[in-house]
Amino acid sequence: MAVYGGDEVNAIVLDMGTYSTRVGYAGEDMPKVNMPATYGSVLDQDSGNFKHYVGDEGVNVYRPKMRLSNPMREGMIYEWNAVEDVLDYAFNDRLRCDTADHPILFTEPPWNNKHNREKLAQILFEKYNVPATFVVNNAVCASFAAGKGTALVIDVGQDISSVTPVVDGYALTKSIQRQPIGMSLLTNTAYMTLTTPTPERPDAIELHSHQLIASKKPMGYNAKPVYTLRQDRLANADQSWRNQMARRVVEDWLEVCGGVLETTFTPEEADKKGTKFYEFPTGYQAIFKGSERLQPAEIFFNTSALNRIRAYGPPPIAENYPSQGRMIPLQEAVPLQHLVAHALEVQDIDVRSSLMQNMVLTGGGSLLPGFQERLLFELQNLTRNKNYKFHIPTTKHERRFGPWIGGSILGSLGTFHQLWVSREEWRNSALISWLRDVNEGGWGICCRVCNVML
Amino acid sequence: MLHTQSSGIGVSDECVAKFEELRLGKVLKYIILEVAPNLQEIIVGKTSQDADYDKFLEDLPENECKWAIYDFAFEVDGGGKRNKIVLISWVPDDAKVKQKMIYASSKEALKRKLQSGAIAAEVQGTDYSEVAYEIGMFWTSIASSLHALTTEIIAVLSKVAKA
Repeated sequence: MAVYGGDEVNAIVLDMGTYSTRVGYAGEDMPKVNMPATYGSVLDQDSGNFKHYVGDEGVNVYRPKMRLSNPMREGMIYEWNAVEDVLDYAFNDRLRCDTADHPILFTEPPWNNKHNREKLAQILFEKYNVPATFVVNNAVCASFAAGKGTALVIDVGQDISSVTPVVDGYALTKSIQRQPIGMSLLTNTAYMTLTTPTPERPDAIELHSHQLIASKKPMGYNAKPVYTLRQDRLANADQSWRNQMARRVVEDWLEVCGGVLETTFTPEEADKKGTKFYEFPTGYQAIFKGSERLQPAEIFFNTSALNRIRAYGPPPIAENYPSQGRMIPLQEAVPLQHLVAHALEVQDIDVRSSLMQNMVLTGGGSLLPGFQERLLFELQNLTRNKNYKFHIPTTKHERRFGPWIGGSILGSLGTFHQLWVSREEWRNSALISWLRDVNEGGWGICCRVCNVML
Repeated sequence: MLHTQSSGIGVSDECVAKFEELRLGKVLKYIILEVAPNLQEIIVGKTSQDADYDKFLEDLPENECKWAIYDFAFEVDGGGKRNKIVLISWVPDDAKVKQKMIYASSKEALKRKLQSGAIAAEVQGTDYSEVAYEIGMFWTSIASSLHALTTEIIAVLSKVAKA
């Protein structure tokens, strides 16, 4: 039997999300490549074809008429040819490796469907000639990385908040709760907050990104900024690119100033959390009060805040291949604590108490200061029960790259090589479905033709 | 047959032998199991006959993962002694991610290899309060009378429904 992984042949771990794509070698602490999931496309006038630009230097650089799109929705791949460009760039330009030498372990969200999984495996085998692949479930990876075989994984991602019960290493796909309240909606909300004038700030803040600014003058704090825009770029920049770059400004603001109040939100209580200073690319400097900084994240916990933003959410997606489990539409979305309580409610009583004791928080939302404390507070209030316990990685990079790190550890284990699905196995079983029926739940692929019933 | 969802780490025969000894011999009090340093299989780290629970806790290091199989003895209401075997996954918060990952993903293999029907309850411990003697006793008592737990949780649920 062929041996892959282990110490001599390095496996590649591929973790694709809606916000960013992480690629690196198994056994390392951090992914080598962490790049935006979005790609830019420019119409080539001579050939009439679209040229794609990916990676940080592809997306974040100004190009005339470059349109930005995201091939990922809700953690799943929707535009396959763009994803191939992303993979090309990651493997050829960044890792600079020959994929024929490296088995690839990829992650998938628990609600991924069979079609998507098969298609990615097919691309890896047929286009990249990988010797072997394996697929692991995000939620199971997060739960394992926290040292838990049984855990309730609460993932606050870019598009989606989801609650996935993992029991004895299997994600219970039927009882996943998810809804489109994620970091992207938080960015929209913060965008509205910043561009809405307040009594202290009569002018709306201009969210021009630094690529569009020709010059600016140093000004005092809260003074009207004096800057000039690059009119040549402004005239030719695509609106999607400008929107995306403005969102980057808001994301950066959230990183510096954002957060969650640990208790029920009142402006007075929030103001006690202190002020923070931020300078925008236009040179505008402002000090933000606690109530301004912490208000946007209320969409996760507060029904009335949720009601206010229902209109700003993305439209529902028409799915050709339905994902696993039910997606709660934005119109019916509930605060996160209700989602968690409901996910617990539908479990068998014998696992419910161990899930309550072992809650794992992951995804971009877990990086917001105060998020975990607030969720615990709201849960305890909602259910009148104090028996909840969170297990959260201590270091920030472990939270950011949780699923990738989990995959990295699995892929580096010498004993893991027996589990890879090799090229030969894949070829032999390509006609019959080689991937395990998703309905069985669980985190692995794979109908190995030889030892799994089909 | 479901495909094994695990790290692929095996379980040494010694583990099974010691487990049987604990289960049937009634002499051993607890067994500490660990993953061998070469990450190939699960081996027996220590066996003990010491009934002092604090001594047992000393065998759970502060920043390293272990499994422990502990034989809890207790008396039932009508008199008479009972024994329940509890599998404790010791995964302290301060352990390295790699170790946590390996231990979490290998537990299923361990359970499958041991006669898991004999394990009355499982405890996932991340700090010493979670593996206190009372907790172990709590789980064993649950195993013997699931009824109490059922009523408790139904009470919690009805509160949730009201709220």
